[in-house]
Amino acid sequence: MFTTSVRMAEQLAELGFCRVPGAGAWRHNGVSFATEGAWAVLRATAPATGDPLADLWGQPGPWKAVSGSHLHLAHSRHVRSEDVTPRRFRRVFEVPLSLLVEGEGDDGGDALDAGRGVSPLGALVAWGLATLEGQCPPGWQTPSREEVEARLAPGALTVQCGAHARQGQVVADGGRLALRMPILARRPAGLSECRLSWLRQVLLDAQDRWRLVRVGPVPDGPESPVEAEVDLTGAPPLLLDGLAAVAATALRCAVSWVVGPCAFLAHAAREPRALAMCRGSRAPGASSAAGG
Amino acid sequence: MSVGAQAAVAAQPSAAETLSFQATDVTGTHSVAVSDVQRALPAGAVAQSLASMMNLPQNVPWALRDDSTGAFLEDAVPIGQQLGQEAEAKLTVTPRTHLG
Repeated sequence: MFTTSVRMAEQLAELGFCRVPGAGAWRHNGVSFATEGAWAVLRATAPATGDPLADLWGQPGPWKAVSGSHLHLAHSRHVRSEDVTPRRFRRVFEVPLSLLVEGEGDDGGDALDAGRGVSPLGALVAWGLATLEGQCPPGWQTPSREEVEARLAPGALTVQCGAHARQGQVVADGGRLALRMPILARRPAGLSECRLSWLRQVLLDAQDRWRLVRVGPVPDGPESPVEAEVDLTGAPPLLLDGLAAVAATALRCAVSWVVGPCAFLAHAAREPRALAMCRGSRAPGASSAAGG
Repeated sequence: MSVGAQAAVAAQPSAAETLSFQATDVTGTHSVAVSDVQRALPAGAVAQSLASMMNLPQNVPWALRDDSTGAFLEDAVPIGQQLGQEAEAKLTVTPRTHLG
């Protein structure tokens, strides 16, 4: 199992990471590395202020702001509004562990990036650290859209969920590589503040819940779409093969999960009393904004 | 030129481009005006979502027929490529049947 691999520990040490005693994580220059189930996760602190839906939207790499602390509150029936503290967000960068072990040879050595001698873990860390600074790894070139689409199964970017259908696309243009899918084709005009606040809350939950996927901000204008994306800008070629398919699956799962509630909240003809009743308590959007 | 051949040469519609149309089920019982449908969506996915919208059984495969031509839309081909620039198309949601 890769998580217990001595080789991984050696590689992390070579990359400058130090083990955090008792935490099962490694740390280097404010960035931590850990494994969670089937995922390798890099973590960094998020700015204390800012918008977790807007700050990283369109930035290179799959970094996103998440908060796990709200989930148990959201599922509890006995939470009073005064108990809900502002969310604390952190930045995460997640890649399936299977991609890091794929290509291991019979001798147990990791596959090396041809000509550069970089292991998948080294390539992942270089990608993560570069994109955390808003940069691409040096020498990275955008693959063509056709090249990425060829890695995806037919229908890999199509969601049909009840009455909702959505089609995603590969964006490979201008130094950018992403899979993107609309959640709402446009933000309806005339949405009440209450519904906008709930819409934002649902989008934040989707971003928290689904690995790799980040969700776009609720647009200011009524004509702009609300979208989800997995940004693969800077992805090392040796990871991209497997990552494109995983990214498409993650995007489909996230959009399937969130499209129904968002369509309900954005339906201009409905003003559910249950939502309006929550206005007296801490508004979900307000808590998110306060949490940064 | 068949629809499939058209699809091969047509530019792929952007995910942001949308169209509107009127859809009716084959019995004429349900009718819905649909807007903001992505032109890039495969017609098959649109048919299933329309069937769900009309509370039609989901264990039946549904297809779309263009009322102006009588032709069935191909499931796997983007709906925007098959309806072209037709404004306010009228479509019928029908069960996909196989004879024999």
